[in-house]
Amino acid sequence: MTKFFQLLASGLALGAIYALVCLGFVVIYRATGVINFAQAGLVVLGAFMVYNATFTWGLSFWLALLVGMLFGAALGIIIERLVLRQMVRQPLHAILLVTVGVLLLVEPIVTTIWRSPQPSIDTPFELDKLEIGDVRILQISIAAIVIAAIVLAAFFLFFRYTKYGVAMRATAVDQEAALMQGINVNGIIALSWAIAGVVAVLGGAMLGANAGPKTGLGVGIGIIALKALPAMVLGGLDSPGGAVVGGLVIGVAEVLAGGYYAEFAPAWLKPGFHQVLPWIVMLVVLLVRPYGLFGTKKVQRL
Amino acid sequence: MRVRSSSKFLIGMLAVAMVAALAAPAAAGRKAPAETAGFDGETITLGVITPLSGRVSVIANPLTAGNEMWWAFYNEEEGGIAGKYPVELLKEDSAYAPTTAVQAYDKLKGDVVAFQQVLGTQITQALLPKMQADKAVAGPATLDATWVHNPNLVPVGAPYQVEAINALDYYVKNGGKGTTVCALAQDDEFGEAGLEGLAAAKKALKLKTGPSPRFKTGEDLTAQIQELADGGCDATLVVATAADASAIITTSISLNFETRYIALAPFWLPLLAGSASIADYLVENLWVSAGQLVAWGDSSIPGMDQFIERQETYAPDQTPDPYFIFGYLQGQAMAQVLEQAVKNGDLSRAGVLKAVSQIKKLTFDGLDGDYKYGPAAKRNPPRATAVFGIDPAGPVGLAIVGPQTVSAAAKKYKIE
Repeated sequence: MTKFFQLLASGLALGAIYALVCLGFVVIYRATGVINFAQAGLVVLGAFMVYNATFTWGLSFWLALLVGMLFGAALGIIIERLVLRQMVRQPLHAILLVTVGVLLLVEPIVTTIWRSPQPSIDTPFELDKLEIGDVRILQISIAAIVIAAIVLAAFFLFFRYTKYGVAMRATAVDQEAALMQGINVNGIIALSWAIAGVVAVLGGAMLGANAGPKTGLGVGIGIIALKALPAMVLGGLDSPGGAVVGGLVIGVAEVLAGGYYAEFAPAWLKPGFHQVLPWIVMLVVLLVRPYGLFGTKKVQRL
Repeated sequence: MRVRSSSKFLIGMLAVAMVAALAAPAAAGRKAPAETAGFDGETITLGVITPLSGRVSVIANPLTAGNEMWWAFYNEEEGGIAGKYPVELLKEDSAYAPTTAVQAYDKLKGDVVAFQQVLGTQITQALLPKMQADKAVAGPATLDATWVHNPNLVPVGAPYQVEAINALDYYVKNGGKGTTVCALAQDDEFGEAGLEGLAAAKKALKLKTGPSPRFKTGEDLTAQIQELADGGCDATLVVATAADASAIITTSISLNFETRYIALAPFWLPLLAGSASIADYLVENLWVSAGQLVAWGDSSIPGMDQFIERQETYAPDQTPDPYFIFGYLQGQAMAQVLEQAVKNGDLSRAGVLKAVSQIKKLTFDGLDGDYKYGPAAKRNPPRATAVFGIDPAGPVGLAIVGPQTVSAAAKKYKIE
């Protein structure tokens, strides 16, 4: 059982990061109806910004995280204003492709600015572990779970009880009706992008600091972040709660599948199968229940 | 008096005529090479295809700096090839992706005499068909034994397979007899090369082997490390580049996996030793097997003082780095090839290819073992490698634990 709990702990840490990144996808989707592929790019840029603040500017990890969040919020707003707003009333596929374009820009930008970065972002946790029986989990992974829980709880409170949260919900339901009610829809969309930027930086910083999959700092973070997409589809495209459940399920499933591959997988199944598992889950969900576990089922009047 | 001075004059004339007659064929052999792709009659241009960006840039950048330092020295103090043709490098970023590397090759091939550096086993494999068709020559910054007998390549150093065999031999002779040896290898040609070394060592040393999971660079390694932990691996051969080193070590620490990691040369990056959070684990668990990771600044190594003197003059900002030394060695090898090509009066691609086959032996001032050259089929690489432990205080973070030796198994290893 130790192995199971060990893998479960790793999966929860990975799932918490997926949930954070996934929340960014969901917020933008609710505000604009667009699946924002650039979210994965924001995760990468966020990680490197926090790295820059700690390594180059010498800030403490927590201060660097704060700087990174401000940067993420600003970057989200800038992308929305300079790029996405120009695409209003354009076909959906064109907007999707623009977000893919923004994502593709990130790698050359990052590798030009940070040519040979350190292997990971330094944190006060270093690689200290929490040991529960024979199960060990890195403290940075616990920090990722705790940060994800705090951020997600704060988001739900904001969403339910604040004026802006209500405005976001109204905008998500019907933009024109929200406009009629005096809601600054453009401002709400910009706010959504800022939130997406903040959660992306948090997810990126955790990945860069060796939480979850422990791959450290690099543009490969973007590939991991993209796996929040299956989590989003599983949870429901427009459901913040679904983002949490989807993220955790995908994270745990991926790590368990990897951990038990050698024991149970048939010989023809190549190693690395666990890496594609989230995408298989996404495919199945899209075929069976396209609105996900908690998403809104679209009803069309005929 | 008159007769004597006449005879003196005649003898003098005869001597001049003999010298001229003897010198004539040599002078004819040293005719200036014609202008060709990458040579404008004055400057020789070499190409570099390497991941200047991305995860593997941590290896490529110092390695390329080593290439550049060699040529800065050679141009300045030797006047370039044959004392009159300075060499310059044209660099293209491969991003460690074979498709990008192929594009870079197509872009550069018309502007270079040869390729000073092509980094990556998979990339070299992808470029070889084109190089063979173009009669192009390149220095692979990868140590796969596959390159040894390839006429288009100018490899230096002991192959990965030999690194693995020597290190496993050292492990067995130092308390590892009867234990379980596993492997963790990249899922590509580089990983394959390391596993070939393990297979050869298993046969020669009668090793008991355990699981050998593969991985794709950049992926979550929990599953693979867990598999090794479950497999009771006392020692684990790691065939990975520095790009994944941190992830492998961090995941091992997080899963409390204790093993004797034996890594091949591309795994090591000096800044790993400076990373406080993993340094203790590295000191306790990691050995690196390599031929070229010579201790930076160690005067007991022949050629080291000269190397340091040149580095301080031509690359004063360079911090100690094993890949920088490798790049320098590559420069030395290519210089010997180009000297031969100029001596032949032919810097065309075919001329350089011919020059490679005429080199009898590549030497490296003692920084690395001599490499027997000649026709590709007869090449024999140096087979001595050392085993390094981790010493965070050392210049490249390493200290020798097992001196440069050629194991009996490595000596017998047949390079196909």
